Amino acid sequence: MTNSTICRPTVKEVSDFLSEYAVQLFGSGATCIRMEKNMHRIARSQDMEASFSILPRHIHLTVTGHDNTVTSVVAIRDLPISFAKIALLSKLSWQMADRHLDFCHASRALSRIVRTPGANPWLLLVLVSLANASFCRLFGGDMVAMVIVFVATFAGFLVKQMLMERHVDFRLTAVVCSFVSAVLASSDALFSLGATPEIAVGTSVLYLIPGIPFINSFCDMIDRHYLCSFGRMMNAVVLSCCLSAGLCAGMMLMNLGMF
Amino acid sequence: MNVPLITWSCIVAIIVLVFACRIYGSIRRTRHVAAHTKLFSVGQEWEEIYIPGDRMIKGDYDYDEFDDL
Repeated sequence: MTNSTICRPTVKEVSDFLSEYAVQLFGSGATCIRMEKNMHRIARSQDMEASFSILPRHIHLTVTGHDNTVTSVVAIRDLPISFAKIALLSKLSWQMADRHLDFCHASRALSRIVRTPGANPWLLLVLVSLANASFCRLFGGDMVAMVIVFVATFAGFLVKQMLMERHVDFRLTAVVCSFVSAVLASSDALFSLGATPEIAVGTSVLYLIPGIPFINSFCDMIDRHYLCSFGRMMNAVVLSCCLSAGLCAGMMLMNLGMF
Repeated sequence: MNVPLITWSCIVAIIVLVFACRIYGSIRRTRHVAAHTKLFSVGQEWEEIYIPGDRMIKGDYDYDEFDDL
């Protein structure tokens, strides 16, 4: 019992599909070159052409079909970074190109990918805390410092998850989380617990460093997507400044180091 | 007044409160999901062996179309 009718999309439908696809791909942390390749692949699978430019807060997309051209501007959304989602979206583009996946099925698949739940927040919390404690060790921290960094990261990331769920501005979130982590990491110095209190404080906020935006901005620069590269770089720099502000406030209140 | 110690104590108290709230919320959510998950249910054949492209047969009316062929 198979349906022999093939779903023939209009240019507008392909444009809407590609708009949502681009927003999801960009928000999940894909580089411009990845977006370019995937979107061209999808458009060609429907015998159409797509061209787009990425502005700091919008994606400008033009889809050209046999007898029609549709241009749309779609706002970029703040989504959690997810390499799993990027992999699924890439796989979908290959299925459309190589296996000639029907457009209607592809649209349903995209909706499913959009609704894919992220990683377990509790597992993420523990793994990020462990990673940060390991960074502390790499920078020469002792066992006490590692345990303190684990707890400080756990608390800071917990607050971050809570604020992100409530859609609090990411800059304010960075300030609050780095402040919480810095204050808790200063326990090492406050109660004279270990021998490397300065490493504990320094590494307690590393989980907030915007690594992926920094890397993506360099990749985009190499691919000559200068506007997007600059946009991502500025976001990363602003986030780093907020992180530093929270860290400095924490250190100042705890009478630590340079203050 | 020992400002660092007071700051540290406040932050720890807030974090403990936040942690307790998260745990409570997580347990409540888990119970809610468990209460709405059926252990056994009667499904339809196409839910198990559906292949992309198959027609959805939801009632007797849909079978009538095949009888005409």
